[in-house]
Amino acid sequence: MVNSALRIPISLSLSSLNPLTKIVAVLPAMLFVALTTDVSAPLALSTLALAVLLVFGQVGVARLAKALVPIAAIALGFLIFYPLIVRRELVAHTPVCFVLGALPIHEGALWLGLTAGLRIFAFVSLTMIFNLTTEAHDFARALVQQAHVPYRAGYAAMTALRFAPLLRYELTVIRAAQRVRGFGEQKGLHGRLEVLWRTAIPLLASAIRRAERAALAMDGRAFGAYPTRTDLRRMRFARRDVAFVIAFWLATSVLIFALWQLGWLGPLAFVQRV
Amino acid sequence: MQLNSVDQPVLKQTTRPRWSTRELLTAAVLAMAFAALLVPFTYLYAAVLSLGILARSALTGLFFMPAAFAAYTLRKPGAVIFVSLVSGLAAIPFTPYGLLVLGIGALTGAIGEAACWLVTRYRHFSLWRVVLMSFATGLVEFLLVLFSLRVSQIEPPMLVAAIVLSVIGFVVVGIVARFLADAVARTGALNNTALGREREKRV
Repeated sequence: MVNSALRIPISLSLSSLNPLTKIVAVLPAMLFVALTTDVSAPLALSTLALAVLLVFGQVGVARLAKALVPIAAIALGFLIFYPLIVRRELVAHTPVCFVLGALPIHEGALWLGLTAGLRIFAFVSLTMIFNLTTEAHDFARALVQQAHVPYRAGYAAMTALRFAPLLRYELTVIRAAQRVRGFGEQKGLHGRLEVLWRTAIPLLASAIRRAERAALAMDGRAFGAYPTRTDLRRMRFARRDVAFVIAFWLATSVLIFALWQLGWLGPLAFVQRV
Repeated sequence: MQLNSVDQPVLKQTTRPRWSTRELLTAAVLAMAFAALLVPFTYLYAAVLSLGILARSALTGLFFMPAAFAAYTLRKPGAVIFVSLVSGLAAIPFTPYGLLVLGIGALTGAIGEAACWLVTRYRHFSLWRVVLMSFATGLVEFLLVLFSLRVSQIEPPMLVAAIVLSVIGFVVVGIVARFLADAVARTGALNNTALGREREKRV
């Protein structure tokens, strides 16, 4: 079977992998990003993550761009605001780019802001390999079947996830009911918090009552009676999972090695003297 | 499963489960409801994250809300971490951070669980103990994430202000969660939880 978007076989698509595989694959790269102090490694690793998502994730460019907008805004915000809180003595030796009131903004401070923003961007880009290609139910299944999380806890979580549309509907009904009673949208922070408080109480009460009814129904069907249980859908660690982890680790290592050879890697956080 | 002489299934259960299905479902659905309420705040958090360490510190406490609520209502070992994790899991598809929300949930849950055990022993939930539990969680969480903030690059007075803001944020959220739980308990929905039973005894 072939996916029509990029002609990638479904068996090679990221959504067909075990959810835990994707976490294992990106975790070393995320840890490495946390240690970087330069822009090249976060840029290279986020490019790798986005390329993997576009080719194997079957994620459309529009969806990916939409997911990236808030993170790009955060990275830009870091570039603007981080220089304002950087220790002066760290960047005093670098040239002053401009003066903001009485505060001189040094080139070094802007550079630190850029690296902090790109680190966040790389972090989120790497986690998108998981976020954009994984169903929460599959993740919960994998936690039960492969990570040996007790199945009663895992299935309770999965049941709660199925409540999401119901709770969303409930929230709409509560808000409509409050508007009918003349307590609709309020302006200002205090008003918004009051609306949130008045919404939270009936929503939580209703959710708890639903949970109790569901629990009775599950108990009535002998949920939790046996130490193990069978599953309609089995999550597996197949060969393609192993291949993906090895390929991603290899690609990450090659990128880091290439940056180091080119002298673009910069010192890592634990060896950098500040 | 074994079969007895009349071919009836015999259920073998070695230990009595410490959590009933009702408690598990209540905890999971509470987490789900808080995820629904807090998702808009994750966008606000994303917006203020770039404004600097102070804004971030002031808002991080919000993610302690499900944990504090669960600790106060369920009063069971594991409730705090379970609710935090499920809340993070439910929020993954709807937030700009995705998997990182689960990480924040795991960290807040683990620290909150330890603080709950140390301060309340899952039994005593006076306002002062809830304040102390929230204070400890806020302080430890901030210290643990310090490394990711590149503390050596930031002005020391800014760091102190951030710690104070973080702790105040957690304490306020802890108190709000306690009042919210009391308000929900007045509707009768929490009658089957430890908080509901305690209220019945008081009456």
